[in-house]
Amino acid sequence: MRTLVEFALSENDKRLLFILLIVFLIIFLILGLIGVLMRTISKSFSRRIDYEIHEAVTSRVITTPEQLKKYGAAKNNRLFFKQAIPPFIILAVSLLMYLVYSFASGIWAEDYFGHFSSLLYTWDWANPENYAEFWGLNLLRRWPPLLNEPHFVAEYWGAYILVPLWVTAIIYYLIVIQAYVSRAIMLERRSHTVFEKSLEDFNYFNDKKDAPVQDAQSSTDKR
Amino acid sequence: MKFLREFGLGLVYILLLPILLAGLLLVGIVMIFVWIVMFFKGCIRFFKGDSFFAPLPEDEQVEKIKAEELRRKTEPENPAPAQPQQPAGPSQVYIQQNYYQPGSQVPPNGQMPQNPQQNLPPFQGYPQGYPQQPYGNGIPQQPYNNGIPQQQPYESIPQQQPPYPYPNAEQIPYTEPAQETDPSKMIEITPTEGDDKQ
Repeated sequence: MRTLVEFALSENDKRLLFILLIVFLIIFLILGLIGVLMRTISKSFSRRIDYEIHEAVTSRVITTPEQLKKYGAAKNNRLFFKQAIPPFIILAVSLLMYLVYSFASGIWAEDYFGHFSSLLYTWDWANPENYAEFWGLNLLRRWPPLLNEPHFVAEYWGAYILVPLWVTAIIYYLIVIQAYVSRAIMLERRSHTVFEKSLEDFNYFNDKKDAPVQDAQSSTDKR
Repeated sequence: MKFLREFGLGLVYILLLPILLAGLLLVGIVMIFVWIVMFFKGCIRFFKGDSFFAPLPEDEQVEKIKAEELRRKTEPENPAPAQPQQPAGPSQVYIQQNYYQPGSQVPPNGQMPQNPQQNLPPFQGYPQGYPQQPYGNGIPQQPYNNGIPQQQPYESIPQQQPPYPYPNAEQIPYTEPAQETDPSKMIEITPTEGDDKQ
């Protein structure tokens, strides 16, 4: 007895479906691991705010959640200022180099990223002949041919310097921003937990003997 | 199991990644302006001679508390009353060197040093009205040992006498003491700066 899949799909389609399944699983695995990495990095960044506010909280200088939020925000901003100095210096240096390069070459609008791609492998992803129609989906049929192999072009020296500086500064700044947001989230959490009045382990009858108010009340009743 | 949970949360993060990235970029753009404002405010403070960041009031309070704790740790609980300080200035210490013959109790010239108390008049008894009882209150005192019989006191306290004269001691010959203090044997000690602080 033939199943519906065997009836509807040809042998090639079944192979393609199997390959697609494996590709999706691998993609999900990689994306999940990236998510785990992001969570781990965020946790490690957020611990820094504990270090910043620890002394003021443990010495009982801060007495309210609002005060903790205000103080922690000021500390977080100052820490962000210090951490953001390196990417801003890189950006300032790259801006200076861009001005010098553009002034020397006389061209103020160039495709710097396109020039920089001469140092990278380039495949022909845009060619529609490399794709096939499968149940309404436009899927890659074969690996596209190589268009460019890394090679050095002397005229693009400005792009070879500027693009790495920009990419480094942008990634650095995004990491700093992620750390800032992580600390802000942790600060919000701490403003609740530090002043939390929990009744988690309290039971009225178990702790009755420790309650002086109850004793005073009972003695008043006896009179 | 924990890894699977983290993996699942990671998948959720990935699905929310476009929203997270958009929020991150928004915060990033806002923080650029915050950074620029903080930079100029800090520069103005710095060129005024202050610190780059204004001190937070909470930090100042923490510093005070820490300084107080440090003071409590370093200072004793019951400090001794302050000694009156000697006036600073050169002081002279005269050291007179006297030499005696070992084994001789009396200097050869027969002159013993005079005890100033020997010049006092002899004891004539207590004056009129002076309390004769112990402590003057007339109450017989209880012994300090609460009635426990004491041992007979020693006739004289036995002491361990060192061998004398010392067999290996250097024999210093007796010389006649000078009638007047020889200025050449005076030693002038001038305190250096900082001695009064010790």
